[in-house]
Amino acid sequence: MKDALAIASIVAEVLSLDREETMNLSPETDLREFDLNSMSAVDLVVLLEQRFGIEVEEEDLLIDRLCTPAAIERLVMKYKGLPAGGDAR
Amino acid sequence: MTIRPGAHCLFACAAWALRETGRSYREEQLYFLADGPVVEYAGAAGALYPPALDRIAAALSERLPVSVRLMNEGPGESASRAAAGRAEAGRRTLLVVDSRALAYKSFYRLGESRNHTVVLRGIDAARGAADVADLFLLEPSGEIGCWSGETDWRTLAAGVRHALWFEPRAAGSSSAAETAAAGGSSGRAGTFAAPGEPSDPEADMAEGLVRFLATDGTESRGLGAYRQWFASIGRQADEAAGELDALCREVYYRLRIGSVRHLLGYTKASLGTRLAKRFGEPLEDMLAGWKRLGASMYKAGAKQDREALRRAANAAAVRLDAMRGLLTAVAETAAVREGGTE
Repeated sequence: MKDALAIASIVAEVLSLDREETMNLSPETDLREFDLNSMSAVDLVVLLEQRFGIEVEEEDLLIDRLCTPAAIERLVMKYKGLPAGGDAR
Repeated sequence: MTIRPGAHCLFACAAWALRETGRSYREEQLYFLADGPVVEYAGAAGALYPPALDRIAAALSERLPVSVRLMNEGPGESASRAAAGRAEAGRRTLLVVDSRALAYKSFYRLGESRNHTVVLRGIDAARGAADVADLFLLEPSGEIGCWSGETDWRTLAAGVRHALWFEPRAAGSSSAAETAAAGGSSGRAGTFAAPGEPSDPEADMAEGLVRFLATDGTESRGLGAYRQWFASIGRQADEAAGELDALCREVYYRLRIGSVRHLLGYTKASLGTRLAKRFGEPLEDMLAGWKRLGASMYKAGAKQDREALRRAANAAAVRLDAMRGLLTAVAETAAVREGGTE
């Protein structure tokens, strides 16, 4: 659960949204509707790297890998070496 | 006439405005006819630019069966006044403007100053209203749309930098065919399609690629410009004290607009069925590779990671060689027409 909270905080920060609002988004919400673009997607990656101590490779930097909350969580889990949904919920 | 989003403001607007003369050319076709791929490297600024507008106008004038007029805003001539006169007569004019003068969208008005091209298609002098078509509206979300409607003429006019328009070539005027033949730059000089006849986007693309590929090893143009630019980015990675973020943002923007991504996208869009089967996917893969590389460069800035930027600049040089190989194959295959003859 704490990973989900951290991800929501980062998404909220990058997209200038309210954190509570971000927590209530469905996992498949298309974040491009909230003005996520190719540059803010990379900003998001940088914050994820800092928060989770991971290094995201070039192949995962494009927006289609990060355009929903579920996709972001999958990405974080991939680099943490955990299956999606595998954090301490 | 309805408008639809294009892939690049200048060429989308040119294709749309050109129809007024009875000639129909696709956006990607005009890009190649204009030598759009032949970007320029400005050594003093360490920056890459799209081809200068006067070169674009000269290339189009040489290769299109219409007159191309370019006017600058400044002492001695007024592009905005000329455009207003044409708009009053109901004629379309491309305006290259400071994007902050486009009052109809707040992200233009409040954003960074960039050259942007729109079409002025009418004016109501009494109300101070300009009727404008914007065919490449890049939303903050990255989505590309288009817009048409009225905007304040005085604000727009204050931001005009250049005006460009097309007119039917006057009978008896020196022909573009003669100009092209003298310059030796178009193998199909004198074979202009008559109004209403289909032109040949694939042939125009192939000839444009040949001209582009011939720039390798030259100073500051086309492939030579890219090589110099990426080398300079590697050097600037060390020198840009505290400005790495701004440098990487600019590099990202330049990779996004008017350079390799348009070159590859327009090449793919120009392919006929035969070439699309062979080259469609490799071009798409290469385009995706450049997108990832651009994102890597942007990320290097966001993380203040100079080593990552140097690595990305080196990787770009390798990608250029691969791109040269693929585009050479496209151009050579396009030159061999159905039946095996050139």
